[in-house]
Amino acid sequence: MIEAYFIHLLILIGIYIILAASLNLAMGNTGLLNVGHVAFYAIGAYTSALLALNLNIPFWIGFLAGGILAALFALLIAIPTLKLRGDYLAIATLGLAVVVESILRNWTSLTRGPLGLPGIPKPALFGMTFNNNSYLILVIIFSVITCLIIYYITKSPFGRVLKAIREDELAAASLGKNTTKYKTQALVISAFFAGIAGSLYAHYINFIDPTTFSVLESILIISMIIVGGLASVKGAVIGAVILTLLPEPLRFLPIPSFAIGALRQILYALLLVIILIKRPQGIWGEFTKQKENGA
Amino acid sequence: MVLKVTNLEKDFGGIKAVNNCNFEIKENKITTLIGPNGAGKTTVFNLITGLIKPDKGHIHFRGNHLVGLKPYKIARLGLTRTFQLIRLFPKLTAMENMLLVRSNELERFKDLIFNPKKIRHEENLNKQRCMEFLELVGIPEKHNFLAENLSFGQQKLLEIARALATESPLILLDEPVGGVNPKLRDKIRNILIKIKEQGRTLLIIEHDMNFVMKISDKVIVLDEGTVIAEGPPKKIQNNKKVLDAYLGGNKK
Repeated sequence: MIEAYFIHLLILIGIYIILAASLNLAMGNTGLLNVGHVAFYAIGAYTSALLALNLNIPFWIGFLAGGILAALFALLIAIPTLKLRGDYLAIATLGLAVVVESILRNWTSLTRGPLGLPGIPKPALFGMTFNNNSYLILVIIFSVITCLIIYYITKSPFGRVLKAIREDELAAASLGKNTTKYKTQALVISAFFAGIAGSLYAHYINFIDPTTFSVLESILIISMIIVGGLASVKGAVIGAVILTLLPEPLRFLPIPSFAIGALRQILYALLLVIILIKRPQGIWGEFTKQKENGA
Repeated sequence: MVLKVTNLEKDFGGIKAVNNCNFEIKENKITTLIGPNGAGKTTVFNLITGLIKPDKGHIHFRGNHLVGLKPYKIARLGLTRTFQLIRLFPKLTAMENMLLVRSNELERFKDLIFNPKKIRHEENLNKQRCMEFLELVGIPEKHNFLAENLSFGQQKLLEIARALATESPLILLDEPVGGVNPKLRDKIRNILIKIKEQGRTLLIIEHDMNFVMKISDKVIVLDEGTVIAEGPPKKIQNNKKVLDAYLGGNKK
């Protein structure tokens, strides 16, 4: 029993690592204050789940379709919103998250609205179904691949332009960078990984409904990369681990269940405030090394 | 003739910042643009580099019309500028700042997937070349420092090194020695002259007359958005219109 509980936590951590690392590419590296990351997560989850339930399409295809549809959606919203900067982009993407959640809630003929989608099948390969233990392996593989790809992207010349745009977009443009194109690409890549994370989540939990994909979920992912460290893959991993595990001990304390939710929020807030005061660059942020070199 | 500006006009809410401005820049020369504060010098730079659009007029650069092009397209034609206030990327290292100007061809996302070998190879070549430019301005040991951790003078040098690293034939420098001590000023002057000798063309905005007179092949004087005089430094020094514009003498 306790073993199953740990495996459950590890799977959640793996999924959050994908979400945090991908958001970090858009937010930490490119400086796009994207509060709507959860929208891409939701699109991936619903796409993959609906394909499996309605059309019997196997997980592997639905998984990719979830990522691709999330990426296409990012491309669509990049056109009107990426001209916005800073706070304005945050408000626009916040709106996006609310709109997507609202669509999931109200397009009942497709999504069954608040009733959610039950019975999403577990993935299978050569007749073998991925149950909890093997699902963990699957999630680990995908989260490691995601981290490696994002690390590779951020260390490349392409990733360098993203950072330059974050620092000073006008200066980047005057150096010959088509900044709109780069910002769009960063958002699309980020959305793709959020989409596959959604698919992994849906096929693991077997049931999704709109409450999983509320704006609060976005805030949680943002907290992960702030705590762990912006613009750093290691930071995203550390943040995902800490924030997933942080509220868990509450389960074992003699606290009435109605108080747990509130306590969880208080814990998050406390951690965030402590980090921002004591270590504003995050636990393992982009500049941790340089600071230690005393440069 | 590398750059030709004809009948350029820009109006900021009723104020003519640039008014019927005409001048030419010759190949492999250092041209300086001087004029009192508010004469429109930086606006002319902004118009040439496409950051703002002119109301009227034409800008020709090596056979291309620049008016209406986006800043990044103009930069790709081989025209680079620096800004009056230092405009480095503070949280990138000196080397990263340098590499950014040389790797437009390496930054495509699709090459990351289909052509990683080419990226690695050319990135290494670029690093070597950038190191040479850092050596030229005298700060090679700072290559791994974040730009924000460099001193003001070093940042100025880095910005010049970065402009040079573009290999652009025409470089526009906005106050390269503004706020710089005399020793560094002379160092920057020598660097710029070396650059000219390597076959590049420079257009410089500067207030430091000592610097302007020593470095220029040609001086263009701007007042109220119009060219009021141009010629070699000696001639400009004694030009009555120029003295009036600077000293606030009578204007007709």
